[in-house]
Amino acid sequence: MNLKDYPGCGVRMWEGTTAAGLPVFVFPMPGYQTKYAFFAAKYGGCDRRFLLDGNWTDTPAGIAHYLEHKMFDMPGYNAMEKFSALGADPNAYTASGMTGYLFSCTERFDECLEELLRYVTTPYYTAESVAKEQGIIGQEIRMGEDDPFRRVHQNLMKALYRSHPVRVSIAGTVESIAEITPETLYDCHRMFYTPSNMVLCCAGDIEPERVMELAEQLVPAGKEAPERDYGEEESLSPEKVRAEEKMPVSMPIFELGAKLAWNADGKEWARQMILADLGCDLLLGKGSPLYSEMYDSGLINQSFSAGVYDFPRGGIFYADGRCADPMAVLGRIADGAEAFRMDASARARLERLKRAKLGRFLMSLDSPEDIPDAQAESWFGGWERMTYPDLVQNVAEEEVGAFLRDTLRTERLSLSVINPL
Amino acid sequence: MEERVYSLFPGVNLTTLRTDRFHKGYFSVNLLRALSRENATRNALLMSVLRRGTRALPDMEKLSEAMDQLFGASVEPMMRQMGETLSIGFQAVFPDERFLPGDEDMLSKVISLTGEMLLDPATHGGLLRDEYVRSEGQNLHDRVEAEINNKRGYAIERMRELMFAGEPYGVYPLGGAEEALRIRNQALTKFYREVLAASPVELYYCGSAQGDRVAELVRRALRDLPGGGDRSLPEQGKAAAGSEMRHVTEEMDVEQGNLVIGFRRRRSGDAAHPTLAVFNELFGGGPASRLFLNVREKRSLCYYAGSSIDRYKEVMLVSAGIGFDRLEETEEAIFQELNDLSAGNIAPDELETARKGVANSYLSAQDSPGAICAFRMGQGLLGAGGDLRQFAEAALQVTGEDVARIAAEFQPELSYFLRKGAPE
Repeated sequence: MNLKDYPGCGVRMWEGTTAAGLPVFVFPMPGYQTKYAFFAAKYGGCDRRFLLDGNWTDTPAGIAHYLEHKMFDMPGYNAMEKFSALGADPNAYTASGMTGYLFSCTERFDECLEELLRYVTTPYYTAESVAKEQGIIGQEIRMGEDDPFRRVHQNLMKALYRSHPVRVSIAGTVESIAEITPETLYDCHRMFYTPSNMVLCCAGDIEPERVMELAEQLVPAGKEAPERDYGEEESLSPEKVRAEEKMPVSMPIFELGAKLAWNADGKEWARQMILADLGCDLLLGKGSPLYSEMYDSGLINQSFSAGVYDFPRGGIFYADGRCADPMAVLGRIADGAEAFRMDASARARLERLKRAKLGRFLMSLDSPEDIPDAQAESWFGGWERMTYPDLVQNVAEEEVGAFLRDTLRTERLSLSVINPL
Repeated sequence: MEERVYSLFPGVNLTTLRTDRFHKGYFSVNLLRALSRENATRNALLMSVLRRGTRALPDMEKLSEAMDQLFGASVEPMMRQMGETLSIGFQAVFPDERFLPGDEDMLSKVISLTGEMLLDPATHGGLLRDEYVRSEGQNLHDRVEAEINNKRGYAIERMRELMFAGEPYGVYPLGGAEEALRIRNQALTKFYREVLAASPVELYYCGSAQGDRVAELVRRALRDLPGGGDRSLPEQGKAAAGSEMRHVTEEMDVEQGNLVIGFRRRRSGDAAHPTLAVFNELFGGGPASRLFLNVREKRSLCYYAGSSIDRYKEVMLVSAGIGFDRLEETEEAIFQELNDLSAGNIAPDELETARKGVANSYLSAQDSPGAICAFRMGQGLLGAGGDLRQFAEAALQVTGEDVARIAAEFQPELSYFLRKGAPE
């Protein structure tokens, strides 16, 4: 393994690749109690159509998440219980572009890591257990349907995109998950849970060499992951400009957004997301004149937030919150972006925001859980997370101004609202 | 970790924990208040108004600029309920000076900003600004009303309100929506002065600085804290459990039913020890608990089913998201698990799993400055000492008899079910 040192941040990272092709990263954190491992596949809610043995194949919405639930089943036992018996805290989650399996513990790290590597690489699904899971996931989906923030977000994605799989929620629907069979789960596991499509990231007071040894022993070789299809190329205009629905809420809940122009180069995409994030803070952050104006006039409240967010082959700018007049918020944002000038005060603000981003990045390095998760995400994205401070520093002010003017135009914005009954 | 405790003024204490382990520093100022219906709204409103601006930085834009300049330091209002005690104040998180370019005196700037936000707010004619009080009153009103947006949280709050009607514990910590609109700046300013003069104040610092330096900075930042008031707290109320369990069902347009059952403990004790935590982990707290494995996994009754215990008040809430036709079956399954534990049917390995799970979470909390300080404050409130490591060790000693005894002491008082209305 190779050691990379980032003395400015007080961080060191060991990196290596197993013979089977699994990338491994270890962050030593001496003195910490928590030991943490994150084992992830670049396979999430959006990966639904792919080349299976030479044929383009569609799989049901929600299958990556379903697979995550079923991975814990092992022949004769349940992996979740095994971790608990070891005194560790196991978990897993599915995002739009990846599925992560993790545990944190304070002792017996090696045994826990063995179990993690073993169960994630062991597909074992019976018709009976697959059928039973439909009750649990069905309740999870219903819980999501009662959550106005998830609904407003899902409706926005449907309004923005014409065919991108991000239109449907990661968990799928009660109908789509009814189509899932053990055979589909086996196929998806075989295609995507393959070393070159996965990553192992660990942090804590642990031995990097031991992590590598276990990964060599326990992660079998596999084929390259298949080519995927995320739907036709889409224009930057939204498919629909409005989406409205009624639910039992106290006042309107809104999320507005615009599609960002996707870039296939991972480093460039990461840089553009960072610059877009700075742009959002500059125009709409708590220190901005526009935020103050909207807050002071009572148009928005503490629930308001704005930022950017990405997923496979795409990303959006968003602003959301609770407010009586979402249309007015949309109008103010579009007008504010159009009127934005990089004058002396905006320049000074941009410099302060860069300082704040740097400080927050440093603070994020205290968490044995967050460092590996973020490392996995940037690895799959094709950029180095530890270069974040440099990327922030090098964002040019002209680019920020151009981003705001181009992206936040009325014709690119779509508004989703949940109204009270 | 080197610990120091300083008594700065009567009723005002600072605990400092020195460590080089973190990239960030943590500082909090906590004013302890008895939870009461009269003051709930005013407490919440006051904190939001103080966050609007100080004399030197009179609006949010200026405050944000100052925090951005301090490398993204955040100083935010914090409210934490511990039984019938409410802690209100500010919590500051900031990057440690060691990693910053140049000679930044972060700590002194952050402590002084926190002091200003608490003691030197933006005023007009000697009163908290009217426009801030009105706009935050409206925001608080909207926040309380928005409770209905999260169905699980809403069901829990409704259960509490119903089960603890007439006790301070039944008060929603953010207070009433309508009252938030009625409070004016004269009344809030008077209340603010009382809060400063008569609340016990607990301050915590965790980071790389020496205790004496922190104490000096805090003493300076709080030099204008009014003295002379009685900084003491009333005893926590522990009304005895009594009657038969009641059932309440309410209707709303929801897709999933939310069940919440409230339990009260018949006797008290062990609040400052990890026994309750081990019982909770085994019953419904963790992924290896009875409620998770038996009620969720084996019977597929719900997506979530879990329990939580407020160790200060010694009450337990069990909540589950279930299908509308599953109420009786789920209730029965929950009681069956509790009865089974109280009968002492506890397998050695499930006990061991629960003990280790609790020990693991106490040990992991040592990796977060905020969690370390929160734990210390909780122990202080219970008049007990102990650190997280001792707690973790004690958790490993909890016996099956301890767990069975506690299971038998929790008695259900109210079962609340939020469901979809019958079609008209």
